[in-house]
Parts: sequence; C-alpha cells; structure tokens
Amino acid sequence: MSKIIGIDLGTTNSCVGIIEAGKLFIIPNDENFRTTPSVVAFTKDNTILVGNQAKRQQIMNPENTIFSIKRFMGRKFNDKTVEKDIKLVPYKLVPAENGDVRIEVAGRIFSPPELSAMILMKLKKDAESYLNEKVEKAVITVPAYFNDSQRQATKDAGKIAGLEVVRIINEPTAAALASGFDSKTKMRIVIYDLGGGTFDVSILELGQGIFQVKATSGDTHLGGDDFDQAIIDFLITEFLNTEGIDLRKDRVALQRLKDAAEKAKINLSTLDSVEITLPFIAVSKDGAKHLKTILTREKLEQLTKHLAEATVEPCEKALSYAGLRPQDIDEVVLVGGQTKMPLIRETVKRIFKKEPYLGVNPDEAVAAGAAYQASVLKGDIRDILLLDVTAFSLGIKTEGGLFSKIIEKNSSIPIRRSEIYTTTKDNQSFVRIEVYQGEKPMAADNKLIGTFDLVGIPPAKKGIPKIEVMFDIDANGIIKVSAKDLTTQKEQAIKITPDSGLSGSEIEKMSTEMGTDFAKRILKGQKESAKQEYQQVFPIDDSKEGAIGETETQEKKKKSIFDIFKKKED
Amino acid sequence: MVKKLNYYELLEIYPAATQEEIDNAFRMALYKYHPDHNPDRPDWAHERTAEVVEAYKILSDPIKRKIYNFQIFAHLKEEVEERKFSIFQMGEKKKFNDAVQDFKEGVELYSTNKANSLLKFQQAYATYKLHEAIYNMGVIYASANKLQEALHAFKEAEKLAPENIHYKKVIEKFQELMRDIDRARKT
Repeated sequence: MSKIIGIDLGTTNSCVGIIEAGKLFIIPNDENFRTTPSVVAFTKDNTILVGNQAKRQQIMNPENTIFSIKRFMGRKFNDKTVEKDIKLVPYKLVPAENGDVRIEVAGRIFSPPELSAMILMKLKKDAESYLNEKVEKAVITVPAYFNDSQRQATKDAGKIAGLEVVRIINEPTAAALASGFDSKTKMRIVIYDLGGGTFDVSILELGQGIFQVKATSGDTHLGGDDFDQAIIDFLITEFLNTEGIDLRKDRVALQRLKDAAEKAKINLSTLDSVEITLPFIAVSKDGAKHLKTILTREKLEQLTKHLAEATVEPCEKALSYAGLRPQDIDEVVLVGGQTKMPLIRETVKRIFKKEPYLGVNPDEAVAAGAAYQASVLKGDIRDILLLDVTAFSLGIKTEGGLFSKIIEKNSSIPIRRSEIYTTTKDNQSFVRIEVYQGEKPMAADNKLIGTFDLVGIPPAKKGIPKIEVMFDIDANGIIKVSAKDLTTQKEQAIKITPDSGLSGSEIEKMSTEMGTDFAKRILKGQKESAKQEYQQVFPIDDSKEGAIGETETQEKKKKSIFDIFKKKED
Repeated sequence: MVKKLNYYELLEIYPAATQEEIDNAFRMALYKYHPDHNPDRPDWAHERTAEVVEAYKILSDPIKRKIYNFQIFAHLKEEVEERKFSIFQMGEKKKFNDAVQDFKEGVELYSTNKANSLLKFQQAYATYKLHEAIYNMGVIYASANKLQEALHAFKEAEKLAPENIHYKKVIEKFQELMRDIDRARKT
C-alpha cells in the first residue's frame, strides 16, 4: 500500500509528517526547514514561488504574493470576516459567479483551493524527494470550527494538487493524538490551539486508545495574525501622530510593518522590550522618514489583551457543553505558535486553574497527529481511534423561515439522522429542502449548505407520500444527504445544488492545469531560485566590479532571514 | 428488510450493564465498526458506527436510557404475543400496559412540559421496578432464542428481588427447558 502523509495546512505555516516503522518523522522541505510558509507568489517572469522563496520576496512583490489563503477557503465574498480581511491583504479579492471569494493575481482569477493546491503540491514534492517515492494520499487537518464548505474546499485543494485526501481531521484532535499521553488510562485533556489565523479549543476523553472529543468550540477568525495586526495598528497610529503620514496606503510599508511586528512579537515572548527600526519607511517633503520605536512586553500585552480575553468564552462554552468543571481536566495542552506568548499562558492558567502542559512542540504537533491518523488508516496502527464531534448544528428551514435542528452540535461523528417528508399538495412531484449549518433560530442567519430537491415523486394525494431523508455527517465532518421513498422502498432521486464550492468538472480542469502548466512554472521558480542562491555563493561573473561586495551583502541578508526562521523554529 | 438490533444487542451487553460496562462495550464496538478500521467497506462501517454512537448516547444518559428501555419493552410486548411466548408473562400484563401508557405520555410531554413529564415517568416507575425491567429483558432474549442471555437477565432480576418467588420459578423452569434443549440437540 502506498504511503500516506499527514499535512498540517496552516494559515501561516504548513508542516508534513509521516510514521515509518512506528516512528514519527517531520519531513523537512527542500531548504531543510521543518515548517514551510503557506505563501504563494507570482513573479514577473511567469514563475510561481511557494514557501520560503515566496515569503522572502514578499516585501518587493506584495500585490502578487498570496498569504493567509486559508482565511478565504470556502467563504463567500460578502462574509463579514471577508469584508474585514480584504483591507488587511495587499492582493486583490473578487467575487465569483456563485458569490465565493476569488483572488485576482498575475492577470488571472484563482479560487482559494487552487492556491492552497500550489502549497500542497510543494509539500507533496518535498515529501516525495525525502521519501524517495511517489506520494498520492494524505490526511489533511482543518480547524475544528471549519464548516462544511470550508472542509469541502480543503478536500478540493487536495484533489487539484493530485492528492487523494483520505481523511480530513480537526487540528486540536490531531494535536491530542500527538500529545504522547498514555491513551490506555482514562484521562481528560483540553487542547488549546491558537494558530496563525484560527482559535480552537477541544475537550477530549482518553481511554483504551480511544480519543473521544467531548466538546469543541472556537473562533475561525482569531489568531497570531490578529496579534501582529494590533502591533501594526499601534505603529501606524504612532507614526501618524509623530510624522503626520498615514502608512496604511503604502503596501510595501505595510508588508515591512507586518514583518517587523511579527518579529517583535516573537522576541517579546522571551525579552522585556525590543526596538523596532524601519529606516526609509516613508518619504515626505522634508526627505526620508524612519520609524524607530521601543515596544515593551507590557505595552504588547496591553495592545493584545482583548485578543487573549476573546479565547476565554470559547473555553468556558466547551467546558459547559462537555458538562465538566476546570478541576475535572487532567491536562491542558498548548498548540499553535501564538501560545508561546506569556500572556496566553497566563490566560490559559486562569481559565483552567492549572499550569499548561508544555510537552508538545506547538509548531509540529498537528502534523504529527495527522501522520498518526494516516498510519491508522493505512492499517499500521490498530490500537488508536479518533472519535470527533461536529462543531455546528445541522438543520433545515421550516415554515416561517425557522431553523429546525436535525443534528445538534457537539454530536459524535459519524452520525446519521433521518426525517420523514411528505407533500402539501395533491400530485406534488417534488419537495424542496434547504439545509443550513449554525446555531441561530432563524434559518437565514445560519450558513446555507445546499438545496435539495426530491424529484420524481409518484402522483398521490397530499400527505400520502412518505420520503425518508437521511442526513449523514461522515468521519471527515462532511455532510451527505440521501433519500428513500418509504412506500416503494426505492432510493429517491435528489438534486443537490450546493451553495458554494467548485463543481466536479471545475476541479478536474484545475487539477489537469495544475499538473501541467502550473507544475512547470513552480518547478521553474524552484530551479531559478536555486540558481540564484548558487550564484550568490559562487558568483559566475566575477569580472564585474562590486559583484563580490554585492554577494556579501546578499549573503548577510540571507543569513539574517534564516536567523528569523531559526528563531521561529525554537 | 434487515431487522435492526436493539442497542444492547448492538453493543453486546446485558440490559443490566453498569455505566463502566457500557463505556467499555462502546469502545470495543468502535474498534469493530469504525470506518478507520474497515477501509474496504466504508458505507457499512459508517452506518454501523453511526448506530453505535447513537446507542452510546442513549445508554450513557440515565434518563434517555430509561425511556429507551420502556420503548423496547413495549416493543417486546407485541413481539411476545406474536410468538405466543406468554409463559413468562404471568399476571403482569395490566400493570405493564399501564406503565407503558404513563411512559408514553411522559415521552410526549417531555419537550413541552418537563415537570409533568417527569411526574409521569415516576408514576411509570412506581408500577414498574428495575428488576421487573430486567426480567422483561430476559423475556426478550428468550423470545429471540438467546437463552444464555435470558438466563443471565432472569438471575439479575432475582438478585435484585430475592423475595420474588416467581423469578425463582422462572429460573428453575428455564434451566429445565435449557437442559431439554441440550438433550434434544445431543440425540
């Protein structure tokens, strides 16, 4: 059986793991880093850069560098969160025909799954060269709070990249698998997962190798990026007050601010204060302006206190769904880069009244968990089993636009529920059912997943036909609907019109294009940057004056960039 | 149509199982049925696991379990008459029917008026004790030809109500019946 890799497809960074001969390996990328930035860039010479290479040129090429694409997976253009995010990204978002978000870059329109697929292709290729064989299957993780269309979009991304996604699992659940707790003894753990873009909290009960999720809660729109943004906003306001220049309009300046903010934030986890220096950030009549300021940990905590506080409510909700008190919890596991911040650790300690467990690597735990699950699916590990829950209620629109729940949130999955439908008119030949996901009492306030038409109902008086509609949520958290005519016991035909996402033929077309044209352009990008790096170390044309000096500064720059990554790795 | 197993049968436990036994049985059933361990028949695994999850949800909640017990006892009642297995029913019929009626009303009221509904449940339980419930489970098993399980259930009922002579008689008769069956098989 072919190998299955585990992929943590993160908002800011991605990571790949595999279990070989019972041992976990985190697969390094072609530059030997254990995580790869989830960044895709389109350059002027028609090549595509992915990962570190894309991130390195981000400052020079902000409009054509796509980051945080995960925030737009399976989302509508008119979503409130998209309206907010559109101001924060330097690339251009446009609505698709069905209202989904699309990205316009390098003179072309891309769907978020296509851009994610480019990241997946890179991860797949790095895994193939590490393992020295073809990789065609993967387990991919998503935030527990991803809804049906976001999960579907992630699956589509895999397909476009030429990967069969054998399972979608929730990030906090994956982290629990990798926590290393002896799953044989009964215990209750909390996974507090604050990543780059999303916050998830899950409560699990472990016993006899079964990882049963009891409750999950979170915020799809809260993460490290928001902490960075708080620092950026602070720097912009300060600069506006002292220099009278609004940096918001300058995309290159914004990108430099973002880099500086992230670096300052990371350093403030260990230091009490850092100096932020951004020379030549703006130009005015009086000449070039520089940004120079000191940021203390205290100030950072003051700026981001509301963000840390925003994680409290989901934690309390999860406890209440699980019917547990803080003292019932045995361990609290921290996952996600943002949990390295001391303020977050204090907040966690306050909520659960205990010291968080620091035994997992917050950057790699999710990929490790995905690798364990891949091994279970391959049949190599037989004594572990995940039983997750659905984070949303599922229901249908009933009379008066009310939302009638069929499956309650925090129900264990897989789950199946059936409802019986009938006709309201004589000889009615079809019934329309609108399926929603969410918690609000009015259907329209929830997320429409799709419309199902029961068609070809045999003529009968009203109320006579009995059609059983089955709502399934599979182990991936993806919803399926089927119907049966109870009078004839025949499968009832249904026509499904999903409210969002890509059609099968669209995915196929994208997959073909990805495997040919884009694959070539990505390969070209990789070769070129490898050549460039080679030239930096061994300049081919050394007859030119200054070439050596140039190389030296570039080398230095490269080193300093590497240092940033290394710091992040620790 | 394939007959659906009841939740106790699905989890392979006795109706008098303790919470710990239910927890263990649930985990064992997951290993047996979960799609992760049955990649060659995903639909069957999904369907079965969904049932196991539902069974666990009901049986691990004391109130839901009581309601469920009554539902299957009511169902058993019909089946027993069908199969003319009245030998084990004795004079309990009216009492049983009344309790079932109370219970049904309680279930109907449950979503609209919890206080009244609970009152109904209490009434039902006043006439229908735990050992009687277990005894009835034994009858289900007997009617389904699961003799060992039936005997176990009857013995459980007798343990809970040692003063009940009827249970002792049933166990005696039942053991006799089992010996007869054994003898018949051998010859």
